[in-house]
Amino acid sequence: MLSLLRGSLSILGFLALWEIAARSGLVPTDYFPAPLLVGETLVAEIGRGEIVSAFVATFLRALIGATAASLLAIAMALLAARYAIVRRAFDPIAEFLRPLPPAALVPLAIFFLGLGWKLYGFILVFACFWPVYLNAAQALAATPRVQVETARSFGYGDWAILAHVRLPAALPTIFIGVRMAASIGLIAAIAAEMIAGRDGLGFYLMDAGLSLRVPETFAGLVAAMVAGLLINALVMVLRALTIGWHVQLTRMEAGA
Amino acid sequence: MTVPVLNATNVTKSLGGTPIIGGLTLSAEQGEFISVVGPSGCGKTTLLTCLSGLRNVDAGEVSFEGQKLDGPPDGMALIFQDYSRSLLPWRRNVDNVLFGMRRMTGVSAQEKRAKAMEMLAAVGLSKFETHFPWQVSGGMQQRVAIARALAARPHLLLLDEPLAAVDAQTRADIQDLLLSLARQFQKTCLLVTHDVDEAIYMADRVIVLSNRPTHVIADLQVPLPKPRDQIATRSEPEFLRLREKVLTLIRSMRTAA
Repeated sequence: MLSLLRGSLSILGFLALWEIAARSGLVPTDYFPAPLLVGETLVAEIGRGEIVSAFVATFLRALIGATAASLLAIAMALLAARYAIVRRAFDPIAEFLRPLPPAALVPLAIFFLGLGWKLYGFILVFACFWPVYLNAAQALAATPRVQVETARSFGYGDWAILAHVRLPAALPTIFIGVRMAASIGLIAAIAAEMIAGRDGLGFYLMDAGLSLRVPETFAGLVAAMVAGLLINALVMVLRALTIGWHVQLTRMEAGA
Repeated sequence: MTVPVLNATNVTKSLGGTPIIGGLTLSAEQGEFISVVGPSGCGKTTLLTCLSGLRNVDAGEVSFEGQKLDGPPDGMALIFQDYSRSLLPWRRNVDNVLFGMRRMTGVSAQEKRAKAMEMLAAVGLSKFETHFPWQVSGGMQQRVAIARALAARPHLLLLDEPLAAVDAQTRADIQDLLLSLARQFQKTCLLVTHDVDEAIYMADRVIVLSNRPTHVIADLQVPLPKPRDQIATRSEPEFLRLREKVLTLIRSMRTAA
């Protein structure tokens, strides 16, 4: 509680300094509008509705894309964990494709997929898949041997061990990947909207920025920040619901 | 003559080209408590994984209740030394016990749960059913592992140095708990340990293993009165005689190695 208060104070202090700097003419207000003006613009924009629909579009794209990619990546990692041949066949492909920055794929994807939802689907799933797959594959391969042997001695077969031991044991690490996927999803959605979009925060930011509506551009930044905070909060809630035991254990080990 | 619960004949096993077990023969009769001791690094744990069906043997044969082993059989349960890792940290203690009851079919979930609670009570953990394993002490964790093994209703319990990692007081308590449970549920037990005193204290029979590739070099009856007592039993002349004999055997192998 105290740390939250201290955190808020330092942010408020930063905003106050910015406000003073803007008013005293230390910085050119055409490019760095004062926080209060940005706030007013944001309220006005919300009233007009455009920024709201842009926010919703981007947020849903990131959320759906990251969710679909995570489920796909976990399924793939489970198959790779179960069948060595899948892992041997897929891992070199993963190493080959992973370094590709998703935004670089947009022009080619437009050519094949057009400008609609298929484009977003492809770019987002491609961008969010890797962190989840790599974390999941690594964690599923690292189950403590004694847990697997215990399960076998109690009559669990390979699939049952995967479901009852290896997957639950891997979930804490999988969530590290999911959390990365959520923020990457937002980055990829905004990047794709900037390059090829007709709506969403990426389009809104480009539109406002290129037409030199600076306060609106800053309002768009605030909206993007809120989207980032919200999607991360969703992951953290899901994590607490799924692996509450791990959250508790980590806290205990940290001595808090 | 009845069929032995466990029978190993001329078992040979190598791991990564190193011979670990070399022509080992032993058997366990119904209701017996057997301790297996040997010099450190002689392959006790490998032996146990072979006896439990977790590993196949290279030559020879292991049979359980007359059936040749091919994978871990129904009716055998293992208790590992590494209890903190063999328990599943995402399951509460009662759910860890339930984990051991997979082979119990045709029983409602409610009955299973009741049975799991009963087993936790038998090891003295009634109040800790809903704790996670990592919320209780090491000794309690090993008790959860014991309850889980018993809940599988095994005829044979294999114990792999289960008390090596707990403090002396807890070790004595759990030794006595294991003895009374083995008696109460009429289990056949095979305990692998490096602690000679523990081996004699617990067992009806002590089997001494050689260096690698390991085989049986002595098979000694323990004619000590039961129930055992931590103070009285350990000061019996017979206890001391056996202790000296086993320690001498192990020392002779250490100098030979």
